[in-house]
Amino acid sequence: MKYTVILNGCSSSFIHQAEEIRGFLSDNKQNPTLGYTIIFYNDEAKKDELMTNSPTTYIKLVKVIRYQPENFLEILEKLENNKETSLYIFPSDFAGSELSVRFAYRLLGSSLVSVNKIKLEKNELICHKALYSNNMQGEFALRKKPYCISIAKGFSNKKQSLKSTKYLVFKVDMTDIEKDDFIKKYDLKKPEKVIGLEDSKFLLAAGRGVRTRAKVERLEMIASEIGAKLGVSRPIAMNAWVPMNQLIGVSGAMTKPDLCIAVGVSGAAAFFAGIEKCKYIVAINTDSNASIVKSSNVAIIDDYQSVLEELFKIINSSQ
Amino acid sequence: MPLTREQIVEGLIEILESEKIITDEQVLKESSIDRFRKYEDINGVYTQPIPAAVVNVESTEEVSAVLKFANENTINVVPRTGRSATEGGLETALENSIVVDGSGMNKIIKIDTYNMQATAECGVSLEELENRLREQGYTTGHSPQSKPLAQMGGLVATRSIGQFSTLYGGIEDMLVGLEAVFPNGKISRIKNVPRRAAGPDIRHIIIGNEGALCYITEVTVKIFKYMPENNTFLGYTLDNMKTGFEILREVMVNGYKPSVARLYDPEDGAYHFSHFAEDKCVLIFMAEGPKAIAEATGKAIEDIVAKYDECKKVKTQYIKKWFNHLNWDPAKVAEERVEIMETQNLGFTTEVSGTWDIINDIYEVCIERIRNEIPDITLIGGHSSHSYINGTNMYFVYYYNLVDIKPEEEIAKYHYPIQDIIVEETLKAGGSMCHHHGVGKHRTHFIEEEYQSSYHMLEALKKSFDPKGIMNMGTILPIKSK
Amino acid sequence: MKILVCFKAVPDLDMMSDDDWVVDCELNVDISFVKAILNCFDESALEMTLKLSESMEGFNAPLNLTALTIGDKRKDSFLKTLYALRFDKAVRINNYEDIRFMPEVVAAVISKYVREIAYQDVIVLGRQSGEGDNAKTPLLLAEILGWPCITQVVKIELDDSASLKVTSMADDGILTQTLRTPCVLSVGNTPNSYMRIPTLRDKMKYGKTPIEVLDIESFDINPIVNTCKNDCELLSLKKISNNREGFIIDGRTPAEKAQILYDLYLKERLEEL
Repeated sequence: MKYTVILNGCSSSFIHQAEEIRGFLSDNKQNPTLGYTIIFYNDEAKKDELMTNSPTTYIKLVKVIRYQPENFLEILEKLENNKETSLYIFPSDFAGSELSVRFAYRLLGSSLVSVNKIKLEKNELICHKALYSNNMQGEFALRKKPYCISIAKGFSNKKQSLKSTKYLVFKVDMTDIEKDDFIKKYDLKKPEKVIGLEDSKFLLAAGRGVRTRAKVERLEMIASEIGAKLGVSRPIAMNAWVPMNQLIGVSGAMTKPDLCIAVGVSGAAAFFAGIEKCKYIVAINTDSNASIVKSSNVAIIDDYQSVLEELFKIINSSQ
Repeated sequence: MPLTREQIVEGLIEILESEKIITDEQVLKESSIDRFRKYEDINGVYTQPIPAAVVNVESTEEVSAVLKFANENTINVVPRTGRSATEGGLETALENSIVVDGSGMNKIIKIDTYNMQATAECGVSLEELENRLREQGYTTGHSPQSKPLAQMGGLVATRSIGQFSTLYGGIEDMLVGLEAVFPNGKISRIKNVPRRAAGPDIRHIIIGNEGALCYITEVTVKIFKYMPENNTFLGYTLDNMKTGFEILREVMVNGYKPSVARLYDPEDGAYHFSHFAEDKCVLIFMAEGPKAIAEATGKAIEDIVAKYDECKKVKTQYIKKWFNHLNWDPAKVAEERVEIMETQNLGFTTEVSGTWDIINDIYEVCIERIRNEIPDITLIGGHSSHSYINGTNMYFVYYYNLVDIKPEEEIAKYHYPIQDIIVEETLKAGGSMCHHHGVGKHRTHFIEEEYQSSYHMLEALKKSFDPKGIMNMGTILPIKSK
Repeated sequence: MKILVCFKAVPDLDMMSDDDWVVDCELNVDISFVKAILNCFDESALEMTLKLSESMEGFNAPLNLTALTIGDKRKDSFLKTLYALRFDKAVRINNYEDIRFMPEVVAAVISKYVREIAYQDVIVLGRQSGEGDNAKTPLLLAEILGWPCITQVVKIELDDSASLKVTSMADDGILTQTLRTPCVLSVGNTPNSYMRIPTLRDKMKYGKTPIEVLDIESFDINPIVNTCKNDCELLSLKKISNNREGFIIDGRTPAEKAQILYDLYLKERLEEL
């Protein structure tokens, strides 16, 4: 059995993609299997970084002009028409989940997005993934090869690295593929502020109990003073009170801090998935029936503002 | 010469520890209003006089000292606890008011399961008291939609009523005794007895005074056995409100006491019930209490409804689910604010009551007039949620899109005209303009018409208990221009 | 320009309590007793399209907006609302089958509608919806039609009569592209996109326009259903439990509670950070 990992080396998130795939593979060891990695790239200077972070020693480097899904798919179709690979694994980002589905369609395989566990059997791939806005876990059997999956968020694990020096590298230049003539103008702007919620050790999470923009700004201030990052639940982000990259949950950041203080958060499953890997959760909420209370390690039932301001004083005076 | 804001604060500092006196500007602004002006609040536009201070009192003696100071210096006082008011009762209508916040008086003093009564300070939240009681197998029987926010003092002060009122009654049926402070600082206790015929029932001077006569510091309410395992839910869809009112009447007149008896029209019901009752009226009952009673009540109601062909029974699970999500919690309040900003769509309610012979007419004429007379309406509907042997209430619910207005113009363009139609039509028919929210500050121009020849009694109460006019001026009675 | 917005009404899962998550032998969860709401991404798609249409008032080539959903009669209330908000056409493809985990079927039906019944220049739809959480429909739709697909769209503006300026979130930043139609736009996290509310007058005036109802049988879906059942079969479904200790700190005032929290639970943990 052969599996192939597809990574987007054109992206600044390449290292993160590689880390999470390594995390996923080490949690889901299949035997016997042989792994390959296809890495798209557009910057010769980054090649070393791409190779040393590869999750497998067999690497195919594919040179392209930039990330463009229509072109990537065309290239993958050309490169992978030999039917040797049973399982394609894509990262959890936007590109990964898009490519996995569209590629499976083109290769007449089967696909599944946000998979958090797999078991490769002779004639099927057993996959687990969250459903019903993260309230339920479903188990699926994919039966049409190749199986194309994108992994769930949250597998990133810095500790694992291949530490190999023997890479088997094939290079191919595909810069001539152009399936993007439907684009008349193209402009990619980097985000103004990188938040890094995923790597934060200490998180302050705000939910819809935080009622105004001014109150969210106050939380930003408190967070930065006590050394925490501020993340928010969907209603707050939808209100554009903070940039969308501060959204926590299935459609935002999946965090794993050592400590999270959740204020005014109801604890809907789709949000909670974003802090589920947190080591210690403190909830401050007026509603003792809110599901976040049951999902916390310790909770205070009170107005979050009063409690947090008091806590802020205590932390400040102890520093 | 009236005291300046600074002098008021200085005077308060002599009475209370300074950390109990709040003068933060944003807090003061937010304390000048309640949910009646939620649109101004969301936009950060405050049109009411900003209070001089908010004081967080922690004992009856502190309340007494603050009232005495205010009375001596003729400073308007607005009493408040859980801040869930919706009719302007918490607005500071006069310059340099003091808002006296009793939410810090939050001790449950005694739960007496032998005499079946519970005593709590004014700032105890109903939810907390109810949860404490339920742990021991008892309940207050009181469950207004504001339960997660409202506190005991405010509930009594506004003559609150809950969703189980058809069985347990309103707060006036539950209240045993209380402690209140009058403007001159006099602390008055009304003792806890089963009943007495020792003159007029003076509790009724205090229940529903909306902070315009005195400050309630402690209340004692009846408690009941809590037996949720016997709860029986019934739900029906039907075509006409008129039929629904007939059924409610028949249930009441025949002596049945379901705890919940509610009738929704299709517009109001759509929000809750569209998944099983599109374009239909919905009738809901819950019977509770000892098993035999709950069962018999449920069975009798089923028999009554069965006589009406237009009623179709729905699965009880629908009703249970709806019921578990009925209350306004802080999260829902916040969510509403987000959506108001985004969709520029705002909703309010007005609640009236009338006898069986007039209620359907009030309902029909109000809906018709609002539909035709008010611009930008997106929803006008209502429900009956509290029934009595002689009649029921009607709770009108309305939403409108805010078109071409500044935040401060919303009330005059939409809210007042709608409310006034409802009040006018109700008074014309012979009903009451306030069923359970209280008068607040925005229906006072109708108060004489509401009371008619008994209005002098109301005026006499105000003159007698608050002669200098310092208690929540503009509430219940309008401020008379001098 | 003809735009098709596809949406799904989903159960409001926040209303479910822990013991409501009962899985029956056909791996179904009974969610019929909770309220239906618009899937949040689809709601954004609808509002985004209404904003686009509004921005074009006064242009001589107006948009033609169609809304389409697949489901039973209970979904009609959403379509009526869309008529009241001035959608030109509202279509429901009547279906009672369990297609929760068959985005292939949904994509096939929509593509057939576009190819055989009413041609469209642009299809806008949410990226994912919360029962199946498949996150595949827009992508499969683009593949079947052979159209390009832009994912994580947050804004649509008009460029000229045959092209759109589309803003979307990409892994590396914010992407703004001017695109020739036809294309599929898959809508992502979009701030400020709650759907507007029609007035009663517009509801009376436009909300009663007849909904076009088509039967899913006429789309010949049986072969695809059978393939889906085999290619990607749901084997089991179970509730995810998020419960922890949930110890509640008791105290008289917020200050007291904060102090207990700090002394007993936070001090050491903060020091270790």
